[in-house]
Amino acid sequence: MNSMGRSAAKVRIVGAYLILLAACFAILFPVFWAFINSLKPSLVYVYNPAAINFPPTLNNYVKVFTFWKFGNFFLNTAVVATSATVISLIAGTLSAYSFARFGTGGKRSTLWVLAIRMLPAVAIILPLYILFDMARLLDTWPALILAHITFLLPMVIWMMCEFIRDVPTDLEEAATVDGCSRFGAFLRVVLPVVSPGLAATAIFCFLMSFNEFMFALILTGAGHSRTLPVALSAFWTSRKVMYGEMFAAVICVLAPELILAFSIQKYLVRGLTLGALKG
Amino acid sequence: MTAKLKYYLLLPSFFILFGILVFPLCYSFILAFHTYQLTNPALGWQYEGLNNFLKGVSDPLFQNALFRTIQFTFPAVTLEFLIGFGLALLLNMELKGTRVMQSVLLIPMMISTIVIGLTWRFMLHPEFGVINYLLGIQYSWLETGNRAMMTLILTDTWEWVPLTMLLMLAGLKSLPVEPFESAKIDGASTFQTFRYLTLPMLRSAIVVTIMLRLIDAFREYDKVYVLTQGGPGQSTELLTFYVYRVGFAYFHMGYASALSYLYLIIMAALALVTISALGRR
Repeated sequence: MNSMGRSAAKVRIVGAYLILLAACFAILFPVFWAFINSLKPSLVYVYNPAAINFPPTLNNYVKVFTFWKFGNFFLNTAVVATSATVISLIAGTLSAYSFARFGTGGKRSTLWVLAIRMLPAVAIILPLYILFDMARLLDTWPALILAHITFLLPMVIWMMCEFIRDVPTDLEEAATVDGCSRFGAFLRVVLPVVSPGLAATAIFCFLMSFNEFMFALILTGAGHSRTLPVALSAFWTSRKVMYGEMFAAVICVLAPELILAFSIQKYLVRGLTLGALKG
Repeated sequence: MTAKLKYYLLLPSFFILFGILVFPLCYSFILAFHTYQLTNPALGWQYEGLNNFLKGVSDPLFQNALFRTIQFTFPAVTLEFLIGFGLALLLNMELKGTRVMQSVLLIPMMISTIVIGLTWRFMLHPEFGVINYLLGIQYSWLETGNRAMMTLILTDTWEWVPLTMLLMLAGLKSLPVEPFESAKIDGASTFQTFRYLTLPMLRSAIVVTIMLRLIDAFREYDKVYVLTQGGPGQSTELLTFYVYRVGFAYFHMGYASALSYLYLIIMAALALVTISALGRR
């Protein structure tokens, strides 16, 4: 009986490993395939789609930066994502402190923040497009920065509320007894304690802005200030597609994303899930 | 000072959100009662009353888009939830080495949807695609409406299983230990424990996970753009894509605003229905 139970447990463990490995394979294969194809000279596809033994070339990567001018798009994306993140982080953390510590607006106030998430993005971009058009801001950094703040700011408030709630209130109380103002206590005591959460939120927002596609497409289109996802999407047109160059560009976008994502993984789990699950 | 501080702290967010969210939404609400052709601004705004909304309700393309969106959302979210929950249960066994696997499994939700769309579109290419080649078939994954929709659903599943997995895993980790220990002592089977302990205790995690995914899947745009452009025909034209087309391909701004408000109402209704359906004990 006992040995049967033990072997059943063994079967379950092996089964679990097999399923998880299969899932990992399903995730990694497309990434691997994009990488392989970024090294492929353009004629190899025609002969054998699955070829992996070809003379690899870095030509595609060179073309991405010389012919397709991806350097510009990197700059656009970095400027937009950084500005939108910094503005959202400053305004959002202040609000989060108010919600988390003073319960401003009652218990349900953070739910309202979540409600903004439900707005169809197309409902927001439509008036923004007309207003930016009137202000002659189309195809500029400020337009896209403002548009990205519409979804980053609620996200910051939501995540930072969670991180601030985890800080024990005694710390601030002690600081105020020592003659700190409440706001001073927030700056000198609370902020340093939540700084890992703040960093995670910042990177998460940066990634969201970096990846955002629809607003960027509508506001910057084929213009000078277009971001990386928009530039990428233009590779696959109805005419000839340069697959090798396209995947070199894909890898250039993918690599920084993966590095950022792995750097915040631990906090990501907390920031995203705790808020959602308590909700 | 402290009494007012909590309101001062909200001021920056309030002004920003008012300027870029509340004001534009009011603007488009008023615009929804007018005809406004952006390509012909000389005509200006012409008052239409409720006409745009009435036209929207009876617009066959809008109805089609709504139907397609439902057809996309429900299978996708069901698949994502089931696979994500299953993987979360496996990861929660805390076997050796599964931490690394967990990191790997989170990759898709962190990368650009355009990257995902382009990579899958290429892998599913009828001639150069590695999937057809390895399976030894000549299948056109995006050729007919049903196939394109299926491909869209599968790609969405690939992208979002990580999120459902992450949320369900967090739910599992937050469960108290004692009930499970006593169930073990009482000799409950694995299935019984799962059915009568795990599932009921995970209720709020399940509700939140499904809600978040429903809301986001209902707004899907990026993959439609990069995989199918709504085609073939209008067979994968989801709501966002249709409203986008009315607004930014035909520039019927008044009508597009009315449609986006109808869309908003549908989303709110969807959220209410799911909350009450899943929240009921």
